Amino acid sequence: MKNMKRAASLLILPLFFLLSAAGVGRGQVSLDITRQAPPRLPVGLILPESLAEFNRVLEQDLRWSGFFETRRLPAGSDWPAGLSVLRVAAAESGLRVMLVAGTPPVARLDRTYRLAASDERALAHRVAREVIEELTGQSAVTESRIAAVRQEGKARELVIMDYDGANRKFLTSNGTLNLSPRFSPDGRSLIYTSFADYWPAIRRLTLAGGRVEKLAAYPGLNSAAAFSPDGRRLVLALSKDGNPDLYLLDLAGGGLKRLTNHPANDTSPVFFPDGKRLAFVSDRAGGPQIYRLELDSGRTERLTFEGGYNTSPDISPDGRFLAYTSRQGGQFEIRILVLESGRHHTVTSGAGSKEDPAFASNSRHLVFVHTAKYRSELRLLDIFTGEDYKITEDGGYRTPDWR
Amino acid sequence: MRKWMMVLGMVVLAGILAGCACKVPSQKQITSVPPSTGTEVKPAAPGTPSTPVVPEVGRATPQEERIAMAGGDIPLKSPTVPENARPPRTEIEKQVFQIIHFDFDKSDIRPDAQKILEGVADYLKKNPSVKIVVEGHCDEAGTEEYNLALGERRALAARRYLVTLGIAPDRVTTLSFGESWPFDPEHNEKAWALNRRGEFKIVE
Repeated sequence: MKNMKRAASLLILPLFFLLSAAGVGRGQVSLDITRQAPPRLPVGLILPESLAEFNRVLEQDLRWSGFFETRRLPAGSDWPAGLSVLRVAAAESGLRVMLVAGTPPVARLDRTYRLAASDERALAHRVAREVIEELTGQSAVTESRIAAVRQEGKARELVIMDYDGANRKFLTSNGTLNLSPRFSPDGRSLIYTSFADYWPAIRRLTLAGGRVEKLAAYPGLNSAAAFSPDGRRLVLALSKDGNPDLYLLDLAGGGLKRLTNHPANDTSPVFFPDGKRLAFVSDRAGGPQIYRLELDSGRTERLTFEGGYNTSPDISPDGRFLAYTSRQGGQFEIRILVLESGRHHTVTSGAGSKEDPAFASNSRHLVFVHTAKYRSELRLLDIFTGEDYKITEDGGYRTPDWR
Repeated sequence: MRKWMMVLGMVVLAGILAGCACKVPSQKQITSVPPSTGTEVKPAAPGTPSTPVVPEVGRATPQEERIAMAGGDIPLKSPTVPENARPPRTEIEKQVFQIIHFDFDKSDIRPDAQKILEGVADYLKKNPSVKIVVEGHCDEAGTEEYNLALGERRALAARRYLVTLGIAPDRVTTLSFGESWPFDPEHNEKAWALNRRGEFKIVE
């Protein structure tokens, strides 16, 4: 027993190493956010030695989900009582994946997957998603993608990558500014601000096929566009009437409705999941602060009061959290407003600025930009544990979105 | 247990010494795909905004001047032949269309900028066929979307000031590049002060 414990500890060490290397911006998370995270569930992994990439991705996915403490078990080992065990083994037609959990142990998954030669990563993400969803009942983000802007010389181009930073691809290469990408609710297209015509315009890029169409090209500013939850409308910032204000654009009929009319800057609007309210940024009180606008009544309410600079709101898909960028001292941190309690929590700390949070579909993880020594990398943050994971290594990233 | 902790400590130390062990995509793995050269579809509804009637002489109407003086909003018109916008070229253009600067997180027209804008207004009155674009820029502090709006406000403030000097609003269009194109790429107060600016482009 003692030996086995020691063996298990040794097996955990490499993971600990990974975590310690990853955790630069480890946050001090306030209690009522952390309390949502139950202790990590131990999961034993019996993995095929021949598939190093598959194993690494699967193990990382399970850890990053925040639900599990994984440990590798030797191939021939008995399945310890009470421990959930995932066994992946080469089978005739691909990979056989078995998940056994509970007391007495019950087979929760037993599937055989075909494995294409170059597809280890994709299959690992899929298996991880199925394991997470089977054991927790919560939706997993292991097959999701992140879009962002990357600086390329003087230009800013759109990129898309797997949620863990792998498989990055450029979506634009027009040598101008392509800013603020946002996924459509179905994840099939992106809208962004393009300066390809010299004047800014909102364009939609359909990811399959690469079709581009212009959705808004009014005189002056066309920026900060975001979809309504049903995908039928855009909210965006335009200056055509002489000042940056918010407008609602009906994508089917093309009708445009002005939402704010204020001498200050109004920008960065984002819908609440109910489609009836917006959060946005305005400097009507002096510096930029975050406000909530009720579309039906036009009632506007200020949400942030601490500090002189609060911007880039994003709302979790479950409607519980509003994440934003807040200047604290000489740098920026990510804060979260728990909408039910009205309390604000700083969820990042450490050196460097943290900006532009965007939630994943699970409302638990967010991607943000971490800038230290003028290098801007993308990181993922688990808001329940405060753990964060760097997903890029080459710098120059901005304004990510996650779907 | 203590032994265990020691091993752990050594591994952590090794981790720190070795740097990040996480494998991440390197430049080599990046597959650059052809850009989105798909079909361009005409804007859904870039409706022509309702602009005040512009007098033919190219001067601001008394009403427009009153709006501008009061700090009110003067709608923008679709720019004509935008591709032709060019930087000041001749000596005289360079002297007139100097860069104007702004204070941190502000779009107010400073006294030094007022002087430059008065020169710009004089030039526009003497050259009635010239139209201009004011390009607003920000320093790197702050978030991208907010800075894009702030740059636009700077350009709009310059436009409004020109209207108070009698220039017709349809001769001045605005554009913001936010923090994207700094004048001075350094990261210090001096560079930031230079980067909070408005530049002029000429459309003939």
